[in-house]
Amino acid sequence: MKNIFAVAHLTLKEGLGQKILYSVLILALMVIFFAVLLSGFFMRDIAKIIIDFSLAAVSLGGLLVPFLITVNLVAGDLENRTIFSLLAAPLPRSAYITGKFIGLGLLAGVIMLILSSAGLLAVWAGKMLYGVHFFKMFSPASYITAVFMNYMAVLLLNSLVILWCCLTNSSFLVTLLTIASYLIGQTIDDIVMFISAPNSGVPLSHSIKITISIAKYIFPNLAAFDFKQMAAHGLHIPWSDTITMTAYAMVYSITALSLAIIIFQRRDLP
Amino acid sequence: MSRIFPFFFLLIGLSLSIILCSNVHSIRLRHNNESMGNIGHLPATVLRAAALEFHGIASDFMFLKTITYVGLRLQEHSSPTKEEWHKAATMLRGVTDLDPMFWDPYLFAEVIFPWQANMQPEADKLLQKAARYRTNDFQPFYFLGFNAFYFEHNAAKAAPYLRRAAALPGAPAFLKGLAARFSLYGNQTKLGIVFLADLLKNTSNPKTNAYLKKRLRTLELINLLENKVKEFQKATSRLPLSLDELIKKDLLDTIPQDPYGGKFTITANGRVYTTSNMIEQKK
Amino acid sequence: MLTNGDQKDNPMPTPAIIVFQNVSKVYQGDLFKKKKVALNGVSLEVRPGEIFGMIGRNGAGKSTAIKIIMGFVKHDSGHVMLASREPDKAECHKGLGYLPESPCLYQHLSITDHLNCAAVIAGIPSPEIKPRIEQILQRVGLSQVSKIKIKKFSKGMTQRAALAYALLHNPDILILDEPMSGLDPFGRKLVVDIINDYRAQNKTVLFSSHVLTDVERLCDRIGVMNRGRMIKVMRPDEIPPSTGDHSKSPLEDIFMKLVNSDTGGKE
Repeated sequence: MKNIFAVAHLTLKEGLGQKILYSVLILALMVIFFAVLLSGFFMRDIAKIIIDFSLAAVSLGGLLVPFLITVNLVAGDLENRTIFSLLAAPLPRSAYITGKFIGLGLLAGVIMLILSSAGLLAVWAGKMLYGVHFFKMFSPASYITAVFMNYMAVLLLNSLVILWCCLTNSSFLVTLLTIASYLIGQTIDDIVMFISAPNSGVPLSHSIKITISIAKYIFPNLAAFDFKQMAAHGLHIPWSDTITMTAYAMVYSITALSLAIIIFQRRDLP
Repeated sequence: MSRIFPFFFLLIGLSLSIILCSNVHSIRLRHNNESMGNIGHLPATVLRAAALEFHGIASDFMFLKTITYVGLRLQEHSSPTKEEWHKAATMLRGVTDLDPMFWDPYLFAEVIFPWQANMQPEADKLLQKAARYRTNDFQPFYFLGFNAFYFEHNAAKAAPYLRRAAALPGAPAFLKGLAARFSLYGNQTKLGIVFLADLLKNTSNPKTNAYLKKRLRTLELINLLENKVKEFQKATSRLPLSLDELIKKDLLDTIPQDPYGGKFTITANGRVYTTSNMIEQKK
Repeated sequence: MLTNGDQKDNPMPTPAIIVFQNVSKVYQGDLFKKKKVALNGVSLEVRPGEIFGMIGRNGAGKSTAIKIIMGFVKHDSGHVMLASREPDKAECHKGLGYLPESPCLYQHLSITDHLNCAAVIAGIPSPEIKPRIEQILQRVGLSQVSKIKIKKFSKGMTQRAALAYALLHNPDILILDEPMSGLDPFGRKLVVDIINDYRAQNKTVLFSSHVLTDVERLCDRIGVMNRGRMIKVMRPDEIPPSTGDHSKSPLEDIFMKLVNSDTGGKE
């Protein structure tokens, strides 16, 4: 366990040193600030506008980790051979993968915590600027739950990125696979619903329908982790949903990581 | 010499950019008309899939585009064409497909479509959608009831809506009695005044505020004139033939100006209306 | 299994700590690369307390052999043991220090950060970590830059940092892949001193190098590789004296003769 946390700590520190992190953080903070001003253009749903922007910024900040940093720190380790120094120590490959996952998870957590705090500050600023009555429906519990669910989705995506890194040495290919995983994860549910609708009006061959049905079980349903709209409207997010989605994220991540470890233990390092 | 050239090109580049700015803006405005409304035609599933996990912010931007589009059209010519109104309605459908619980598009539709565009059915369709998704909100039913009463003159249709609104949390106290006692608000003008005053209380956008205030002022003037007509009728046992008779009878100093630039006139049954129909008249 | 030069002088050899028997490795090609035979029936053994040097041309297979010993790459055939264990087991890296060829460390961290992580993984008790790090940084001459980020290091400083990483836990076996690479004369002297220290402590060193003079004076045995094969293993005292050409060392002379005869005189 100590080994795993040593790698996690190293990964977190290296991640915090990436310059792109700070550029995106500043951008996300600007988006949140802009939201407070922009919400004045709307009529009554001012709270919804500010929360929409804040949660979108939190999502973007979280997605930075799997799309940019995980690729850099895992595929980059293999490309640059930084991994040799780590694996020369009595560190099992499984501990390396697990440590990386935890470190990157902590990094995403730090980013999303900063941005969600800025979002809450924006809500407070909105209350000061426009009046408390526009924020009657705001629910801190729903906001925090939406952020937590978003975090679970980011962890899940991270585990997939690590799996792609174990399969290929190329950072470029890993990035493409990550983008594909994200897009499929976000849209698979809508596509399945669309083709299942009796009058979808879209003629599809049997083989395509089967492919989409199989994809539904292979790729994670990332759209299901999106509770932003419920938080934006101050609606209560049931505990059962939160627990189910958390369990789904954990199970999926463990499966992806297990597969990653199995592959990584058997592959030659470059 | 080679050191001066970059500054020279910088100066020329900046000047040309400023000159071309307005041309580029006009080109964008021309093409903007084409793209507006097309997005709203996409099926809801496709829109939602395209927005990935950013439905909320996508709906916000799309709504902002819609109100800018309508605002520009109203600026250019106070009566946008039917096609332009339908484009706006399509956009609002798209916005509410992305976020069916987003209240502002429904409110915008209610404030603009029946009053400005004579599109009460479009407003009603959107309000029906709002009622389906905003199950704890009294406002969709409130506005549906108001529309039925004020625009369709159909109290029988309005009553069930207002009853349903009254039963929901946050409904104003007066709604409880309204469904049963339409005669208390005898005519639509008073109902309109109550409705607009309530809207104004809860709107922060300055442009919308000004729009609603103007409308409210007009209704208040109509209400005042109708009250004066009632006083005339009480005194003379007949309705005045024109509003000038009210001045002759010392009930009015002068016929008030219609804020929309039209003229207040009286009908045969004593109702007051304005020739502008509460649409900004071109001078 | 003993290799050339051993049998007549060591009738009772001690068990080898690194065993590499008839090992072959082929890198499979793909659409863009041809199949490459990296190792072809290579055998070598390194005994405890021995300093073994590997020399060969670029692409001879030295680094591949070292990676197989470290367990980073799997051999296709043959038998490999490191400290009596399969090399891909993490436990066999206990008491092992490794310096990779062209080492790369995390750019946004300092050498202290790296060494802290290495100390925890190596199982150094917490109270000993800080003094050990200070000691090793002193040893490699990086005390003044302990908090500076690796990205600001020169190539030579990075090499020293990686050396500190390898030596932190005072390993019994040291495997160095081209340790002199990128080092100035002071750096090279540092590596030579470390290897001599290891010899004095009766610890084992396996290293590859292109600096033949250092190999000649430091090693107990020298393995010459060419085209994925170990063509000769010899002791320094078996190297014939120089032919009189003072621009070449004796080892350089015999190395080039061996390689030329192995490749059919085409070099």
